[in-house]
Amino acid sequence: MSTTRPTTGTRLARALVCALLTAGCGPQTGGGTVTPGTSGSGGSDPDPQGVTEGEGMGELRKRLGDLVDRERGLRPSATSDAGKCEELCELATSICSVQEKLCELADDHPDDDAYQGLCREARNECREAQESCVRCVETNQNQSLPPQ
Amino acid sequence: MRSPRNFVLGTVMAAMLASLGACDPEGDRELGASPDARISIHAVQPGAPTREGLAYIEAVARVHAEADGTTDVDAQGAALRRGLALPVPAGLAEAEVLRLELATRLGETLASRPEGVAVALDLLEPMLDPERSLPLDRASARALVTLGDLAVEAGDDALAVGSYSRAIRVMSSLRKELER
Repeated sequence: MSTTRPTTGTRLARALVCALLTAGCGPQTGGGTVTPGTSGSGGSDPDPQGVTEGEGMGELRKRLGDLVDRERGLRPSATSDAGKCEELCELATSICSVQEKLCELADDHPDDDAYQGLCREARNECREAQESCVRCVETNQNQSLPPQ
Repeated sequence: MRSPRNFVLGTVMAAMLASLGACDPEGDRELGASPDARISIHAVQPGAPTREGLAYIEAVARVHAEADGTTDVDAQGAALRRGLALPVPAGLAEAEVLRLELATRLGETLASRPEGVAVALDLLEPMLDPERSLPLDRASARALVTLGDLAVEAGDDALAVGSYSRAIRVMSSLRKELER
C-alpha cells in the first residue's frame, strides 16, 4: 500500500530534523522589534512605544509596506495549505483503496451484518475523505487568487 | 450395527474434525470469527532529545539502508530483525512508530515467500492487537493494512476486514487532525 507511506527515509529524516531542531532551540523570546501598540499593557498606556515615527512621505510609505508584510504573514499561507491539501488528498486515496479491499471481502459474506456494517462505514469514510480533499483544494484556490 | 459407544466416539471425532477444518494449517487461527474492528489510538508526544535517542534513530536508519542495499530476502530479514532487537532508549516516544515500521517491513519481507505468511502474521498480530493502543501515525495504518493483506493470504477474512477497518479509522483520525 504505497499511498499510506511517506517513505521510511523521509520519516527518519523528519525525526532527525525534529530532534536537532528541538535540541538546538530554546524557548522563543521576543523578536526585538519595537512596534506601536504591542506593549501588552492592555491599552492603559496611550503614549507611543518604541522609536519616534516620522511623518514624512518616505517613512509613511515604509510603515505601509511593513503593515502589508505583517498582514500577509497573518493570512494562512497558500503554500502550507497546499501541503495540507496534498496530505488530505493522499489520505483520501489511501482510505478509498483500503475500503475497496474491505468491501470486496464483505461481498463474500453477504449475510453477515458485521461485514456489511464495516463496509458501509468504510464507504462513508471514503466519501468524507474525498469531500474533505475537494473542499481543501477549492478553499486553497480561492485564497491564492489575487484580491480584487 | 453401530454401538452407542461407537456413535459417541464418531460424534466426538466429527466435532474435532469440524473444528480442525475451521482453523488454518498452523492450527492456532480460528477462522469464521467475527471481525474485530476495535481501535484505540494515542498521540505521539515527542520526548526531550537525548544522545541515546539520536543514536537509536541513526541505528534504525542504518538498518533500513542495509535492507535497501540488498535484494537478498534473507539478508533483508536479518537486518530488519536486528533493528527490532535494538534496545529502545527510555523516553523516546518516536521509537514506537519506528518499531512499527520495522515490523511492517519485516512482515512484508517474510511474506514475499509463501511459507513466510504465517511467520509474518505471528510477528504483526500481537503488535497490532485490538487491546493495544496504537500511535496516531501513518505507520499504524500501514501496519494494519499489511496485517489485512497477510490475513487475506492466510484466508482469514475476519482478521483482514477487522484490520482494514481499523486502518481506515486511523487514517480518518489523521484526516480530522489535519482539518483542525
